[in-house]
Amino acid sequence: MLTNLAISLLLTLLLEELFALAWGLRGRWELTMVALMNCLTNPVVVLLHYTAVTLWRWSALPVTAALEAAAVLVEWRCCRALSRQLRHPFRFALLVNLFSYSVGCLLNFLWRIL
Amino acid sequence: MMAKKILALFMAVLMALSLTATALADVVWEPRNSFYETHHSQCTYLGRSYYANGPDGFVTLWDAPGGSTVAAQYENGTALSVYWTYKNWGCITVWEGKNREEVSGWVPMEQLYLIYDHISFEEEYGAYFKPYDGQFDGSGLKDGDEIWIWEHPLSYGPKDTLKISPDWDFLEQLQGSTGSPSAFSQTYTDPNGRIWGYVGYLYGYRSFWVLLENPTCDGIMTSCIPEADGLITSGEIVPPRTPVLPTVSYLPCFLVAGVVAVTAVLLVMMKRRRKSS
Repeated sequence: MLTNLAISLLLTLLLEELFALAWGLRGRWELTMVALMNCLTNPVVVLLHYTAVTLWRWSALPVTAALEAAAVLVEWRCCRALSRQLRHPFRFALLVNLFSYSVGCLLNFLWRIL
Repeated sequence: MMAKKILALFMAVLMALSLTATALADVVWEPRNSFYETHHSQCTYLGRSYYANGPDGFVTLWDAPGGSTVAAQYENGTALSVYWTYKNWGCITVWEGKNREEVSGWVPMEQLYLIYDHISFEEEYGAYFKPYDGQFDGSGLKDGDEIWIWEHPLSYGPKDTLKISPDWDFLEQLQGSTGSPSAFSQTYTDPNGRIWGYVGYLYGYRSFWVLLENPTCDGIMTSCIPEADGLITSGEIVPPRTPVLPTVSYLPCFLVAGVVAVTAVLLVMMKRRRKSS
């Protein structure tokens, strides 16, 4: 579990920082903000998802949707409060999470079949 | 602006691709467990079933042998299949819920009680087995009849049935009327004088016994092997209790709480700095 948490956080940090750069964010302030908001949401999301889906056998789809939605909301609030460059913080928070989630699913799939 | 549109398009494609992920299966079950995936060359295939028999009334499946994360917990008496072993740990897989989602985890083998199976039966009665000699007739069977197949002749009940139909030549394979030898290899005569035939493999069905003179088992009763309830009553299995999470499994929660707390403090500091600048 601890390994999963660490891998998930590192991968998300990498993906979301790359996305932020592609989105046009520049400077230490903005990229630190992106890193910190991920440290705030990712470990909690991974832990709660594991607990709810694997241990409590809750259905994966609604749990994933609820947790990702919560992450988007928290990250949106962070972006709105801290960013000096983002003009559409909600759009950024939504898309950056969709991006990292999708890449994560694909990497997971590739890891299993290779 | 164009860069953002390209990014959004790329993401849409990525999302669509991520939905194409499918499950893969193999003849020998291989669990989706990261410890197994990294140590499979040191694991040995077992493929036998056990009753949970933990000292506290339940067993805890861990993410790895000696791991710190709970994969699942089961009350004593629950039948669990151990597919692989690593040292004195067994890797169990259970398919849970209506979507049959896989749950795999590791448990010490000493917390499991072997369910009497065809291997146990052979170990105990193998000396009395005789080569199959064409005792199965089956001429009275017709389409729609079901041949009961048993884990062993002492089972409480059949583990499955083979339905006679034009689509499957079960009957011909058992009779050996297709030009190849009968699927039966050995026989065993039980204390009531009934002759049972053993089949190692038939169209995906592995290691089963058939009552040769009465393959549909009309009105028969068998068994002297107790099931979980009997084993609990007799004290062979520790009585079941509602599982309780072990203390060590809270470690990830404490670590995550620590990371979140430190991050929240840093974010608050950033916010104050932004306001003051």
